[in-house]
Amino acid sequence: MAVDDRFSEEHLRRDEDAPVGTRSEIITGPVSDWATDFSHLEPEWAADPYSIQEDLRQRCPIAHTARFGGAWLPTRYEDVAAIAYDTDRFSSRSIILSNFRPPREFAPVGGSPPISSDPPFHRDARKLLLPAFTKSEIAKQEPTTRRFCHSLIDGFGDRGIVDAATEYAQHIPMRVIADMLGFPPEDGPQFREFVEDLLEGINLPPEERIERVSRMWEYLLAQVHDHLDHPREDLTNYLLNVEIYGRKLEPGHVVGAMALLLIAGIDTSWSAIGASLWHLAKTPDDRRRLVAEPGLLPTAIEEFLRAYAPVTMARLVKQDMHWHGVDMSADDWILLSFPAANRDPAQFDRADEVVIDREVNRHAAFGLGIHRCLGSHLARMELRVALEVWLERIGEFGLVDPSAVTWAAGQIRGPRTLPLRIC
Amino acid sequence: MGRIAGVTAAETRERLLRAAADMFAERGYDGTRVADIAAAAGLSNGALYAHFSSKAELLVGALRAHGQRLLADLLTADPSRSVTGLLLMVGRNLPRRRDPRGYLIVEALVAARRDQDVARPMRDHMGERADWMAGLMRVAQADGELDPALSPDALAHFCLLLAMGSALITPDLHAVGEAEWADLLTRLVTALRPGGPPDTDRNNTVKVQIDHERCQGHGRCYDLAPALFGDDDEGYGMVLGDGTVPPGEEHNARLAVLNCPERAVELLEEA
Repeated sequence: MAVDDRFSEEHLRRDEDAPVGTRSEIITGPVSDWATDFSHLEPEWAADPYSIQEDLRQRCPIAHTARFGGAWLPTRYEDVAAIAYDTDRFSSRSIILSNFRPPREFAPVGGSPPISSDPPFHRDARKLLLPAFTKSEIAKQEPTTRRFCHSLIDGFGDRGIVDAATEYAQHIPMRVIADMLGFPPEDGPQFREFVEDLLEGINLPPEERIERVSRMWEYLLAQVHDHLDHPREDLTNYLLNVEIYGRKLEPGHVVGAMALLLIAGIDTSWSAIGASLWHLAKTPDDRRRLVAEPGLLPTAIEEFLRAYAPVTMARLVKQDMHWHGVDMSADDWILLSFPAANRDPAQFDRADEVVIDREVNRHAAFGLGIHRCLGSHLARMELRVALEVWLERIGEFGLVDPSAVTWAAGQIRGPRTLPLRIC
Repeated sequence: MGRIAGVTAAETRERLLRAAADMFAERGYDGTRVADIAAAAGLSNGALYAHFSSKAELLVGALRAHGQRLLADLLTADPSRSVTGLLLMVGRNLPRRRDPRGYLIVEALVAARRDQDVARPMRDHMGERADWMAGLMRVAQADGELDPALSPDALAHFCLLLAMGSALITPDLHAVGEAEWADLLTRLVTALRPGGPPDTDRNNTVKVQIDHERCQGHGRCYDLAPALFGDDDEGYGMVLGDGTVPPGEEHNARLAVLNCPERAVELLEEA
């Protein structure tokens, strides 16, 4: 059997002739007008994006900014859905809006397939991963996830105040995805740094950003080599051996997919668990009702996902065009806000309220169209188990100080510090 | 004055209608001055009157251009859909809150009661809508979806009343459960089928169906109605058996339909 040398120094050396992307000027600082100068990285957005989106929906439903080299922000459900479905005119070759646009030649594969892929490659890359993320496959992770949640609460000891974001929510998806990928569970703190570097370090100077992103790349390569030396049954091993079009994956595809599973698997669920606990901590009626009626939890979870959808995606416009009343240029970004779509009153009754027994809830928290979140069944399982265990163990809890809660800026929104009184 | 370089008359007209739609919807007919509409569109009063001769004409023009026309939009988007299917879709939407412009019709109806200048064009407008709707009913009758013994005009009138009623009774005033409302409408459409209302003793089967072009594997159907749906080895939804909804599963079936983010799940009735 031939040695797998896809990941040797020689093969990974950068191709000097490869097309390069474009960088745009980094613009930071207070936003002058959200309709013409929005930025999802500023503190006002992190603190309360919903009132900004509501205002835009009424006066300028597709907002623009010259930051990031030019970007659009649709806030109506119908526009968000139309873009999510229109892969002919909007490319996924970069789904994190930043000051760097990868070259067009990057499509249709992109840096982290399949989330960064366009048709027709997308379908084949996605097919490789779907079987590992079905509801029944994910159910196998449930007993260990439940035990792990209990162990986190055991770890609170008899303290009366804990940080539910950093001492509970954050660890659950980290542990589950580390297990699935076959990474050492004690590497969790590094994962958090990777997540912050990639998703929140958007406006760092290019050298620093490249430096930080390559740290993750090196970590993942080390994991690849460890798996090549010590093969075992996990997703990393699967990616190393699976074939597409009759041959093993390109090294960039393997590492890109690992990065996707690691990053997308952590920050998102962590945010959803944290936001749900935050809501229950500040809404005693809902908390009491869920403790009394655990059967309502699945319905309530869908409402938390709608109202506090953590994930916003990005797209790149393929060609100059007039679209739904605005003039878009090729390579303009789209900040594809599923959270904004989920609060559009034209789509949802009482859109700005959290109605935990909302029976009809066609929310878009996991996206719409071909890029439906691959890990949605995993996320739902983690969220349900995390809340079931918390409510079973800690029925009475509340915010220590509402102003002490901090939220992540950028495309993934959730509480990053969440001090709760649990006695 | 009032003419913006490089802008065609049609664009100016369109800008005026948009400004008029927003203003009338927000402030009502009496509360809106023509001068405000001109200003909002960036034009002088004089320039406005080059396009519209009166406030009434602006109101009805705005209604024609920007009033809620969900049925017409859906029909344009998918002309192959069955008429009764479309009516059900629109009907389910009726109790929901609308965009601000969706309430333009209310302002126009109120104004028509008080102002003859508005009443006349409104009568024409409603007449056109009713005729268009009656035409749709005739198509449904020709396709065997609706009983040809029923008057298409009466059917159209009935739909029009429902639509107007929903603009007046907003969810703030009185709400109805979405699933319960959908049930009632389904029953109603069934009763309008050729051959009269079905005999309830006769076996009228309801089946669920998944549009596999649309399904993306969100899994809401098999979460909510596990007796009716399962998943394949990639997580896409599958109908179990032939999709027949057994007694007691109707509610779950409807929840699956109403919660699919991709609108891929459908309920079919077979006589």
